[in-house]
This record gives sequence, structure tokens and C-alpha cells, in this order.
Amino acid sequence: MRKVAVIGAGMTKFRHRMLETGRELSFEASRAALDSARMDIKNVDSVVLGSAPDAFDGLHMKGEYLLDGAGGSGKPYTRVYVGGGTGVFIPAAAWWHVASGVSDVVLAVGEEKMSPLQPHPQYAFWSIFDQFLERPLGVTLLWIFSLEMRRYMSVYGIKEEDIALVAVKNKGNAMDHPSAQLPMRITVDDVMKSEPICTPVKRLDVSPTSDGAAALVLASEDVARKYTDDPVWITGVGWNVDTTFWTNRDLCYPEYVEKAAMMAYKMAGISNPGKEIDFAEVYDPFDYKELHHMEGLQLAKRGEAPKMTREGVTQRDGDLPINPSGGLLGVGNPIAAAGVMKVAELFWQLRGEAGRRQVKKPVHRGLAQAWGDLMQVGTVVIMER
Amino acid sequence: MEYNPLFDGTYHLRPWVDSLPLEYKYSLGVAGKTFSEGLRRGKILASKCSRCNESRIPPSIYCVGCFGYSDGYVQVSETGTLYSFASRGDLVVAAVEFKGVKGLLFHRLVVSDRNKLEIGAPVRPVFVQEAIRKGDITDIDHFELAV
Repeated sequence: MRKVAVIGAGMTKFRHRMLETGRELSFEASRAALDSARMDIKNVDSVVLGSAPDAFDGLHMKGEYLLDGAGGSGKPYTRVYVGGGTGVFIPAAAWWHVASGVSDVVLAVGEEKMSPLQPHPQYAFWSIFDQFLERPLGVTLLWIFSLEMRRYMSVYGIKEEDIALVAVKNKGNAMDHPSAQLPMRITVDDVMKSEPICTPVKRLDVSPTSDGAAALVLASEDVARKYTDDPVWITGVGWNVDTTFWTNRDLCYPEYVEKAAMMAYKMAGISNPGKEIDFAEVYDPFDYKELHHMEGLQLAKRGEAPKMTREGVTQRDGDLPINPSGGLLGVGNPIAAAGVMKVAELFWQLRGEAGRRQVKKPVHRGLAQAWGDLMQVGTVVIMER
Repeated sequence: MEYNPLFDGTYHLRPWVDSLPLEYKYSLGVAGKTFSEGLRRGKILASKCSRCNESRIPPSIYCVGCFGYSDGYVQVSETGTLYSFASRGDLVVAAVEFKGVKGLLFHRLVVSDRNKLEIGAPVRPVFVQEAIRKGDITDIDHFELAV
């Protein structure tokens, strides 16, 4: 397999509702990524785009609809989709284009425009549940996340206040992100007193719905060295999908995330992730999910991620900074774009270009992870400089 | 990072509203039809795989473990245990576990005192009257504490 570098990244702002269409958002992010790589669309051999459910837009064949905004016209073009895991799967899919020798330069684009669906984007998720077993009961995603959060709290004796610390940290980190939708300085008390959505989940435990796009430029080693003295390498990718029946897995521990991480660790030659990963962008659509995923990624022992959070280990100036970008809780959650934003954060952090978000310790290796579909997929990318 | 200065995210949209009237008629499938007939008879059925010595809900014609055909159906125990629960207003929802069966059943839970709810509590399904059962998941009206 050939070495694969990331040589450019760009993103739009993330907002609840944007004037720009999905095509326009894709263009803005793609153009910014190409500019950052000092490249033009003519240098791009193929395009990999990711976007989550078509139901947000009411447009079937959303990949095809977005094609020209993502620079894919007349090129080998692929849309990939694994629900919320899509954003980190996009660079994984772009990676195999380059690693295999099929393409030298790949533009990887994540787009999401959740706002068209009325009265709220959440309604799209009705269509992901089982028609016979679940929809007649009016199930929503928030209910099943509440079941998962309570199970996690109950098995390990975790307090809601400990979970709230994640929201406080990530929304605070987002104060330094120019694209952020929900940057906030808040306290644990603010989270605890926020509106109950589905107990135990409260308003400030949850990331917002968003419109936005983010993009990366991936290149083979010889091309990367022509364009930059400072390439960042993708050294591991992993993905894993469990059954759509969310009822048929352990709600307390994301085994599919562990399997995805192990695939990436093996590729990157990592045997002790807690020590060898310098910082991570962990998927945080809910605050408890950051903790859950740290454990699945082997960055924390089972049930111990809340303790690490409480002790400040996961702060930007801690030993293992988690979500220095501000994550989905702070920057926003335009699903596929949010995952690409996390990989872009690895790129900026590893190059020392994250400005006020730069983590304190020197970093050489970072991990980005996303999760989704019906609580069933883990996607992981490891990058090094 | 540089941004297009036009891109302040604050300007107003010009909206266009559309709706798509779509309706679906799904097939329950082979295992789903058996499950449905079980509900009508007041039973929750799991499929079993004797190679893996496993039963699971919802029943399936194939075994997820060995990827061979399942070889029949078994009724789950009449009482299950509460795996997790969540609440919103008056509504409590639950995931229920049955002994020796892989998979949880999601449903509503009706309790007189929510503060007494505990993970691990025994719960049982309350079916609607036989005459009005339709073979739907709502043939189970709700689960209740079995104490």
C-alpha cells in the first residue's frame, strides 16, 4: 500500500440554518480545502463525498445532487454513507483510493444540510427505525440514547454531573473555533438545570442540528512532497458495523468502536493507545458519548472516562486532550461534515495551525472517530506528523 | 484558516416549501409474520439456532452468529427484566431483557411510582384483549412491574 498524506483542509461555518444550498456549502468547503493545499480542481483525480440521510433534504440521490458542488463532475466519484459515522469514513474511503494507487489526489467532502426538513430535522430519524417493531410506538432517537445513557450510568455508577463536564469542556473549547455554532462558557449547574428532553438527557447534553460542510485533500507521497514540506500522514483507518437492531447489543460498551479502533491501531502499529495517541477528536453528539467512545477506543478503561474528565486529563492542557476543536457539542453537528471537521482538526493540530485551540503539549499523533447509523457503526482515522 | 467574508451565516433565507406524499406498505417478512401471529396469541417468540445454542428477538430466519438458517421458534419467558428506561412527561419507555434470549424488546412501561423504577426489576407484558389484537407490536399495550 502507498503512503497517504493530507495536504489541505477547509470548512464552512456550522449554523442551524444556512442560506447556502448543499451544493453551495460543498463548494465553499472544497474550495477552501483546495486553496489550503494550493491546488485546483484539475489536480484532483477523484472525489469521495459523504452525506447522511437523504430524508433531511427530501432529495433522493443526494450524492448525485451534490456532485458538482463537490468538484466531482466528470470524475470517478463515490458517495459513502454510514450514518453519523460517515464523516470519518469519508477520509477512510479517500485513503483507499490513494493507498491502492487508483488515484494520486482525492478531494474528500462531507456535507450536511439538516434544516430543510419540517418541523424539525429529528423527524428524518423516524425512517430509520423498524417499521413493525418500533415505529408504531413512536420511538425517537432521543429515547434510545436516554436508554443507553442510563444503562451506562447504572452499570458504572456514573453521575449526571460527571457527564455534564464533557458539555462544559467542549462548548468552552468551541469558543476558540471560528466556525462554531454553540460556543458557550457554561457550568455543570447550567447543564443540570437545562430543559429535560428525555430523562436523563437534557438540552445541554445534546449537540445541535446544523448545516455545514468540510473537506480535505489527500495525496500520494510523491504528489504531497511537491505541494508541501509538511505533510500529515494517515497511518491507520478502521471501520466496523454491527446490526441495525440496537436492541441486540451491549448498550454500555460500543464493541463496534473497539473493533474499528483495533483495525486502525493494527495498521498504525499502535499497541498501547492510551500512551501512543497524543490527542483525539472523539464523536460527541451527546456528552456521555464522548466518555463511551473513549472507552471503546481504549483511551480509557471501562467506566473510567468520567474520572479522567473530572481530573482534567481531557482538557486542552491535559495529558490526553479530547475534542480540542469543541466537538459536535460546541462546533455543531452537520452529521457528515462534523466528522470531516474532526479529521481537519487533527490536520490543524498536527501542523501547529490550530491557533487558540492548539493543545498545550507537542502532538505527533492524533485520532478521529465517528459513530452512528442506529448506534451501530464505528469509524476511525489515525494521523501522524 | 481563512473564510469567505460573505459567509457570516446571518443573512435571511428565501424559502420554498414543498411536501412529498409518500406511503408505504411493508411486508413483515417470513420471521416477522410468525412473530406477529405469536403476538396475536399473546406470546413473544424468539428464533433459535441449535448450532449456536442461541435464541434471539426479534426472530430472524437466519442466525447472525453462524449465518445459517435458524431452526424454529421458542416462546420467551413470561417475565423479563428491565435493562434500561427513559422518561418524558408521563411516558416511560423501556428496553426489556428475557432470560436466555439475545436482544431486547423496546416498549412502553406503565408504573404507579416512577421513583421505584430500577434497572434489573422484573417486568411483564400486558397484552390488549384477544378480540382486538391485530398482530402488531401494539398488541402488547405496555409492560408493567411484575412484583
